[in-house]
Formats: sequence, C-alpha cells, structure tokens
Amino acid sequence: MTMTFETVTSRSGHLIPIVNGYHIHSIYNPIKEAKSFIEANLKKVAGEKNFLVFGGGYGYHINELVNYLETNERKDFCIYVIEPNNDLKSFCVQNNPFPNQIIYLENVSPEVAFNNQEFVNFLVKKPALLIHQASFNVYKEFYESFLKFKSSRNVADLICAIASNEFKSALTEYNSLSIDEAISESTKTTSANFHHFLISTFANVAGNREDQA
Amino acid sequence: MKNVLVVNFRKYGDIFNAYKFTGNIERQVENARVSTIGFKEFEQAFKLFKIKGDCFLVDRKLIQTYFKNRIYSDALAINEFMNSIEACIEQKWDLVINASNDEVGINFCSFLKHSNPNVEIVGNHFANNKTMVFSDIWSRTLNEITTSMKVSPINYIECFNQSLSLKPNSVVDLVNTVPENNQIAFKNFQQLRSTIGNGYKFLAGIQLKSSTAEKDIPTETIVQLIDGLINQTNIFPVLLIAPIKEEQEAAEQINKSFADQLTIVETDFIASPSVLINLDTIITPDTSIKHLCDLLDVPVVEYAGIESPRFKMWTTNPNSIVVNSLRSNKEVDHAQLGDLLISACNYTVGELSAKDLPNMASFLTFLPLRDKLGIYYKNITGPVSHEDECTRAISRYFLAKHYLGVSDNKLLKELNEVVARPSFNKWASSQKEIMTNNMRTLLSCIRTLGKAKENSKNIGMLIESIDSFIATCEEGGLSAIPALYFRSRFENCPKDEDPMTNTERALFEAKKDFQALFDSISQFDQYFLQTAPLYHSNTRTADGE
Repeated sequence: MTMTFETVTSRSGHLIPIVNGYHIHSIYNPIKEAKSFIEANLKKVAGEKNFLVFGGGYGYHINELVNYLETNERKDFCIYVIEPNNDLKSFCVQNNPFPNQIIYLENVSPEVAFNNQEFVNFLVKKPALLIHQASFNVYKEFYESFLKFKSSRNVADLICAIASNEFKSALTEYNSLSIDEAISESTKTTSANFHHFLISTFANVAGNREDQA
Repeated sequence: MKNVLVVNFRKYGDIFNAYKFTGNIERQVENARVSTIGFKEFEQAFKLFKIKGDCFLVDRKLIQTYFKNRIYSDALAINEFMNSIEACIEQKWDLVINASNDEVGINFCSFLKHSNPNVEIVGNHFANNKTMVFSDIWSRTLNEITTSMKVSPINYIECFNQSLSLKPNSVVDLVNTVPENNQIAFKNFQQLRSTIGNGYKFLAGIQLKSSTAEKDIPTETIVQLIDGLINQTNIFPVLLIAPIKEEQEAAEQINKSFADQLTIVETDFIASPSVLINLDTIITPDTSIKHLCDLLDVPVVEYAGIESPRFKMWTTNPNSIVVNSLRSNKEVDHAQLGDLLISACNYTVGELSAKDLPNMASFLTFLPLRDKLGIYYKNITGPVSHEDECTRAISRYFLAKHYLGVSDNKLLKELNEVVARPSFNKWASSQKEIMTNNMRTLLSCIRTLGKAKENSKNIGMLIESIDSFIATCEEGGLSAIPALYFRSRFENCPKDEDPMTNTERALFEAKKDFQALFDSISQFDQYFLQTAPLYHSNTRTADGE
C-alpha cells in the first residue's frame, strides 16, 4: 500500500508530519502534546530506564521522554523505537540527540527484529512499552504484527540461525519436526548417542513451555 | 594431571554440601585439577570455592526466557546454551563427577560419556539404551536406598567419599574469603565482644530465614531464644540477615521486642564467610548457611523441621547438633523449642555436655559422629522411634560389612545405648519374619527363572514372581533393601548383557543381600546378649562422645 507523506507547521511553529492524511502530532502544539503523553504514561515510565516505543513520528514525545529521564537522573536509559515509515525514521535519525541511547530499528519486520541479538538483549530487560497512538493507528496492522508475533518452532526454520555445528548435527534427523517434537523424540529414543543426550540436557535446562510469557 | 569436572546443577545448599567432598579431591588425589559446571544464578556459591580449575556457568534464566517466550526464536535459547557449555565440552576430562544427581546432571554426564567413552563417570549416567549406569554400589545406594527408606542409613557426602575413595573431610582452608571483609568483620566483632562485657564469652549467630517459611524457626521461638541467651547464658546473640527487605523487616520486628537493643548483622553472600568465622556458633534453619558453616568448621545448631529429610543432608561437623522437630511450626511449643535451642547452643560452645541436654516430647536431638563408613547421627534426646533406630543402625552396619568389608562395633554399642533389649528383640523378630517371607518370594523367583530358562512359556510366571518380589520395595524398612537393590539391577540391565543372565545375577545378589542382613541382625543380637544378658528398661547413657 502506498502511503502519502507531507509536512505542515503547527501553530506553535513545529513541523508536523502527515501520513495518508493523518496528523502524527498535534497541529496546535506537539510539545504540549508530548508532555501529556508522558503524563498519561507516568506509571509505566516511573522507575524504568528501558523503553520500547511504537511510533517515532518526528520524535517530540521521545525528546520529552528523554527530558523526563534526565530530570529524574536516569541518564543510563535506553530507548528502542520502531517506526516503519522511512521518511519519519530518517528525520528522527538525523535529529537524534542521543544516537547511542535512542535506537531506531533498521529493517523492521518482526521476523528480523526478534532475531536481532542486540534488540533481543534489550527485550530481555523487559522494557516498558510506550505506544504513540497516532503512529499506531496509521500502521495498526504493522504494529499488531509485532504484538502478535510468534516465532517459528520448526527445526527447518531454526537450523540456519543455530551457531553450533554440534547442535545442528544433533537436530539433523529431526528436520521435518518442531523443536518440541524433536526434544520428545530424542528423549524417547532407546538407542541414544551423544547428540540425543545433548538435546535432552538442553531440554532440561530450558524447562517446559507451560508458563509462557 | 588429572582433569576432573564436578557437575552440579543444584542450588546453594547442595552446591556447598557437595563441596565437602569435591574440595578434598585436589588435596587428596595427586595432580588433580578440579573444575565445576552449574547454573549462573548460583555463581556466588561457586566463587567461594578454592579450586585450580575453571567454573563453567549456564545462564538457565536467560535460556528459559528465550525458550518460554513465543516471540523469541528457539535458536537464541540453543545458542545461549551452547555458548555456556562450549568451553567445558571442548576440554578433555579424565573424571566427571555427577554431584548433581538430577535429570540435567545425568543427561549432561551421559553426553560427556558418549562423546568420549574414555572418561570415567562417578555417580550415574545413562547407557545408550537409556538404562541407568551406576558407577558403583555407593552410587546405587545413594539413588535407590537413601531415596526410598524412611530413615537413610548413609549421608549423601559419604556415598561420594566412598565412590572416590576420599578420606572423611578434614576441613582446611576450603573457602575463598575476601581479606578486606575478614579484617572488617574481625574488627567489628572484636569491638562487639569488648562492648558486651565479660559476662558474655561467646557470640551466637541466629539465621532468621531459610528457603521456605515452613523451615524457618518461628519468630516467637526466636524471641524466646534471644531472651534466654541474653539472660541465662554467657552467649550473646547476633541476628544474621541478608540485605533483602523480607529479612530486614523480620529482624526489625524481633528487635522491637528488645527495645531495639539487638545486634543485627547484614551480610551479602560473598562476605558471609568472613562473618561466620568470627562467631562461636550459628543457630540456623537454612541449608546453605549450615553447609557453608561445615566448610568453615563453624559449629551449628541445625533446626530441622518436621519436613526435613532425615539424616541424608544434615550438618556433618562433629561439633554441631541437630534439633529435629516432630511437630509442624504451627503446633510447636515455642518455650520448649527456645529452651532446647539454648541448651543446644551451649553444647556447641562446650558449656554443656550432651548428656545434660533436656529431653522433650516433641523434639529429637542428634549429634553427627564418625564411624568406619563416615558420618552418622547419634540420637541423644527425645522420643526416638526404636524401630527407626534399629533400621538405621543395622542397615548401616550391613552397608559397611557387606560392601566395604568392615565391621563396626561402634554401631552395635550406640544402638545398645538407645534401644533396650526387649524393643530390639521385638523389632528383630518381626524383621526376620518379614525377611523370611520376602526371601521365600525371592527363592520362588529363582526357581521360576530356572523354569523360564528351560521353557520360554514360563516367562509370564517369572515376571509375576518378580513383580511380587519388587512389591516388597514398598515396605520401606530394612526388609526392603534387597528388593530395592534388585529392582535397580533388574530395571537397568547393561546393554551388552542378556536380560535373563542379568536377572539371574540380580536375584543371586539379592539373596546375598538377605544373607548379609540376617548376619547383621545376628551380630546385634549377640552384642545385646553379651552386654545385656538380662532384660532391662531403656536407660540412656549417651554422652555424645
């Protein structure tokens, strides 16, 4: 789907992007709107230093978030922003005041993002999720694909992302199965070799999937 | 150089406990270099060990986060797992000790064994056909006997000491401490000793919390204990807490009962040894602190609640004492328990002899002592079950005699002191009767086996008779021992052996076990006859030596 893009100037004198006819920020005062955004998310923001933001826009709300964090002496913050619109992203990247701490994900698709080790390392820290509603509404389907994403559990899909040749070899005989089926088959075998015991050890350490987040 | 890997995927307490034997390997086995592998969440425990080798850590929490969350690829979990173990599995190990004794430990040891068949495994691992391979009788005993019997005849540590031919632990400088922490702790405790005055000769640490609330010493008891120590003894109490909110609040609550006059020492894991070595005794319900104290040679009063598994994992310091409650914490008499803990505390600092410990209806006390098999626990006070004591002593005597070839008269003497002859005779008579019946079932198995060998149509009969014999495992007492060993041998037939031959051998081993058990009872019988030819009532003469 082709998206139209244009900019206008708000009454307060700030640039406002318009995507497909939707204003991404307030046409009156985006700075005031950004402050309200932080206030509305105060429970999520308080005490937190890691944030995942859906929607970059022209970055007013992100700058306000940084202001809030600096005021509260949380200078070691880290913010990942997911913005699918390249025009918006380019603007934000060019005007990024903290390029080491505010990171705009490249090649955004859930499949790529959730295999990006740096992004995953960040997610493991359980960041607060902040949703910029105007951006979310424009790209609703895209953001929902992130929220609903489920990684493939098929051995065939995983194998190229596994670094260890030893473990790859162990999974070879289960190429047509899911990882759970491979574990089950490997555990059940009564003619086990060291590969089966390697898979079983992994399964013991990884635990069961019952209490999934 | 002998490259040794100790596999221990357990928690703090078990890691410290296992170090009681692994710590001796480098000291007793020539040119040994010991490394360990365990979970990263217990890194602080591994850091306390003085070993020449490496410490490999598996970040289980991270692996589980990847594996359990649907957004992450399982490849991330696998990569993290392999990164954790890569350096470990690349090394050439001469000896791998499965101190973990759980599923993950067994599978990991099996992986190492099947990757390199030359590696020696102590403990258990799987054969190719997934049957369990026990390295020796002690590994089998640990897994089959100590887990099935109501009263364990042998301590976990001693099973490994026997497997590894290690001498009983002589604790010498096994734990890493931070010199600065030692200096600070020494200075602070010296200051405390001078402040509290000459009326107090000793400092007793009181550990407030354990891993679960059910194991804790009840708060009401702690208040009684502190009050008693301050007012009735020359032992000054010090509350020991970890720097976490729950413990701080518990300490504050207790401190309020004493007008905020108590001494509370807050210490993290790394500084704990420096604190503990400056105390004369520790009263603790906590598994990890108890085993850490054993490693530091600091005596403890171990509070073992009703749920605590008896004898298998208790303190192993011969200067310590175990107070075992027969009631749940909700039903415990706080005044009685407080008094008993005070007496036990006095015992550990040498101010009271074991024979002067008070006898109370709801509590048992035990002293860890040594015999030829290693550590065992002698009952000193409380309404001990004579049946349990007989089972424990004779099964232990059986193990030492039958599998180690040593006969230990100390056990005969100790049992004689605790159990009167009529009680023993009654128990022995009932056990002999049960064992005779079980032996008949066993002999029927042997006869049916002969028939099955002649005609395969009789295999059904053989299976039926074996089932009957295995059912005696459920008895849980002395009479179950031959069936427990048999079941283990029968169900874990070596892959290169004919099942019928294995069954035959296992049956004859069980027969030998029965004979050795009958012999063991006879030995006790004779001892009782020699020392007490006439029946007498039970008079305790335990002196704790």
